[in-house]
Amino acid sequence: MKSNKTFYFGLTMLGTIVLAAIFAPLITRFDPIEQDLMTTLSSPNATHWLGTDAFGRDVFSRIIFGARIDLTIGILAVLLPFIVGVTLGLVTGWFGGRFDSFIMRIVDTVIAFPFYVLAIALVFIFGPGVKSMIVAISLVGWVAYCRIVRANVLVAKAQDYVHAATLTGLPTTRILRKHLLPNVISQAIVFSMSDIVLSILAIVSLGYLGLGVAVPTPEWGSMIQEGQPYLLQQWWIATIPGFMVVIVGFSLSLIGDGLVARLER
Amino acid sequence: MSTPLIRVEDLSVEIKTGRGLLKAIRGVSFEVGAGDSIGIVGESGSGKSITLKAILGLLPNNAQVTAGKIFIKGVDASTLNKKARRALISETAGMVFQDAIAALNPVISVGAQIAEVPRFRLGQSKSEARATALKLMQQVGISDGEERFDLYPHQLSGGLRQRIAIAIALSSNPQVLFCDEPTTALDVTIQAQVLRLLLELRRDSGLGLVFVTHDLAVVNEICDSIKVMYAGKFVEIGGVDDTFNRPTHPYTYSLLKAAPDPEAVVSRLFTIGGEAPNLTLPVLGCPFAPRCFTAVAECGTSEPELRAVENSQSACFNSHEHKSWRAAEQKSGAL
Amino acid sequence: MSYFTYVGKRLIQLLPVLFGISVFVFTIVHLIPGEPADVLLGQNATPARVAILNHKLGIDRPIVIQYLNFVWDAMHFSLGTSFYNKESVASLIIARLPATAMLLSGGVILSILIALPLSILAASKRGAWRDQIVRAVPIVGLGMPQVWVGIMLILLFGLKFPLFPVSGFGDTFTQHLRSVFLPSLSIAILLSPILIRSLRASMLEILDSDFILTARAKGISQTRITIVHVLRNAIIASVTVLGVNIAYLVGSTVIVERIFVIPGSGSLMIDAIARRDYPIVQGVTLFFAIVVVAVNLITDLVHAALDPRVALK
Repeated sequence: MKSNKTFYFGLTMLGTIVLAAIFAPLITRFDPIEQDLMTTLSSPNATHWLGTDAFGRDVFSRIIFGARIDLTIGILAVLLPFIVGVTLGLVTGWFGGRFDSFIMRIVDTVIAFPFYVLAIALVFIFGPGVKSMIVAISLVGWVAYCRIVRANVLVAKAQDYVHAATLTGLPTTRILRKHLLPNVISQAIVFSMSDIVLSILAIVSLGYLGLGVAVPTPEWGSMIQEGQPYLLQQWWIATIPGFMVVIVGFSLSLIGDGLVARLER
Repeated sequence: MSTPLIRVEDLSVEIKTGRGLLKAIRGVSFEVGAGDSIGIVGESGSGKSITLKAILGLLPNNAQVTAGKIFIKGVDASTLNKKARRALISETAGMVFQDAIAALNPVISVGAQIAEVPRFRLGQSKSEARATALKLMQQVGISDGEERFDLYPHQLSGGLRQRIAIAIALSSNPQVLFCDEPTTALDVTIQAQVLRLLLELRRDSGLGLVFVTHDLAVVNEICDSIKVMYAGKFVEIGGVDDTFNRPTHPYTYSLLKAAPDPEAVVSRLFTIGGEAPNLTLPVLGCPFAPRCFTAVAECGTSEPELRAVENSQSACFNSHEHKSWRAAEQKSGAL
Repeated sequence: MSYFTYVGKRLIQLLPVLFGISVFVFTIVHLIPGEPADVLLGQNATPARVAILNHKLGIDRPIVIQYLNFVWDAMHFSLGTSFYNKESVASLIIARLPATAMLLSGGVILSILIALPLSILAASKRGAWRDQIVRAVPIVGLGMPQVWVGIMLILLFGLKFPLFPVSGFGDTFTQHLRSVFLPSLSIAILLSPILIRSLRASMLEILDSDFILTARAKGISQTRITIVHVLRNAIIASVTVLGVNIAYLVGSTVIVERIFVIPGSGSLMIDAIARRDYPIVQGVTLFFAIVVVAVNLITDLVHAALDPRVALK
């Protein structure tokens, strides 16, 4: 009951932000990139709802256009590792053997690296930018899905319904897809909710470090970095983009918890 | 007659569950005197473990005593504060749990766990407490106590673990041992050893036993009197010989019939047809009526109270007919 | 199995991971588009000079030999020299180590100071309002960006109420301590929700277990039950959770050092990236990975020493 309410609350909050991002040009009449050096660092007022930054750009407009970038990359950077990780988890868990040990050693290696250090090193290799970020986060991210699914497959493998399916002589791919996958994927789906948060956090962090989206493009992380020098007088420039991330993270947490309750039923 | 060690008057316990308030115990009264050996028998969910935990003040957070009184050595427990109550109860009764591996702290050596009460409650020095613990180990039949003292629970066999748990229960010098199915998790031969140990403790030091189980054979083996519990109430109370030979409640009768051989030390868990009632709902009539072979119309409308039948007490409207049950049951073809 | 056998087994398990780490770190340089010589020589790159430099860097040798050389050097703490100022990478990392180490230990200590009492508070009365509040902490906390927490702390305790320095590391030990307080706190604010989530669960499991009932039935005081029976088990749980999250923790120092301008190993890496100083990026990456592996090893060994059950498995 209660988790249902919070689930819809999370969904509503996230939905509002997503809609605002999609219809950003209709909501704000300011171009997020256009500079107006006559009105820099103005306080929130009727025209500029959240004031302007050091280049006179409308902060509100940059935040909702920034949502486009952060949410899109955040979701893309989860999609790829989800598919790769779930597939590898299924295969390694089912077949075991040398391939399994090989993949598990790679998993151990990836886990040994601090996430941000590895992501930063990878972005360094591929050069800063959106594509590098997605690739870097994906290269690290598949590991979690692989482990979750593999662990579930190992448990499911011993269950009678799988034995029964194997005995009927169905092709292995069908057993994996039709019998195993639906039973092992729910935990991965729940994790993907918090993983989206993690990848948005990574994008924001990389953006802050100047390794993410190139500068004039509105992105929450680089907005924080640009706003930091004006923290004492114009605190809203740096803190509100971060607060947006908090809200997105909170909504996804609620959605994730709601999903757990639903899937357990 | 001296004051009983423990006297329970009309005890009721309710448990908050996801599906509502569960009336786990609905008015239970009994006494435990020095040297008594009482068996409380019933299916799981009948409220027997909760009864023990309520007396010892070990109820989980979601459970609450809603009515009744518990007297420990004549003192009303509800008049004591938490600390005084805990002190009084622990010098009166010790508890042995079903699963020793869960009942022992995994990261503290077994010797230290036995020595904890002597050291920290009875104020003994470290070496005194160790000596006390070794003596307790000796008492529960662990001869090489010195060697086992520093071992951890997982390093011991199931039988030894249960002996350690009994030693812990004895460490506060109680006069009664509450045993919550202490042999269910053990192998057949180990079960027999643990039961023998409990019998010896009773014989040698006059230790009282309150033994909760669903194993009738165990009750037959070590108890003098039996209380049969069903749906949070005692439905039959009597001496072990009387009850085993002449059950005066149809539930007891069915239990005994389902048990393969009441003389055997170990028996299978009994099963009888039907299901125990859902105690989150109000109880209308006799809770056993839906499963009873001798139920009459009256059983569906009012709940029978305990009343004397020969040497026993039974909560059944038809208890006076108990001699003809064998025939009645065969005729009805129930079960 | 004795404790020493366990240690041996655990050390052998490390080998494939160390191999994987070394391969990846070695590969970093080879994956980067463009030749190191181009970066080093810039405008002065003539084919002859490139060839000489490549020979000096060892790039003209077979890749396996290069790898073996790299591993051999790394085992002798020789991680090459910085392109930028020709200093030895190893000594640069060591010079930056104290700041990072203080930051990390500060983060861990503050996290435990926040998480342990809160978890005990929550678990000791399941479902009560204080439990509800503590349970909400991870839901909000896990979605907070490190940079945001950092600048909020700067804003509150550095600027509005100037209690702590907001950047730098200071010169004396006391200054160091004051300087790493806010950065450590910002790490702790993000780490403690993770700790609380697992600790609360394991505390509940401990409090629900029969051995606590045994202790209560014995008549032991509540204080002693909490300290001896609950806390010891809970600390074992915290060590494990910390070990699992050490990679996350080390990674966040990179960002925190940047926010608070602390001259640690993480900011060394970020600066090196801006200068395309490969040996430093490579060296710091290797260093951090080794730190994580070492900490994981240590937590496992501590866990095995604290929990008599582990070594037996």
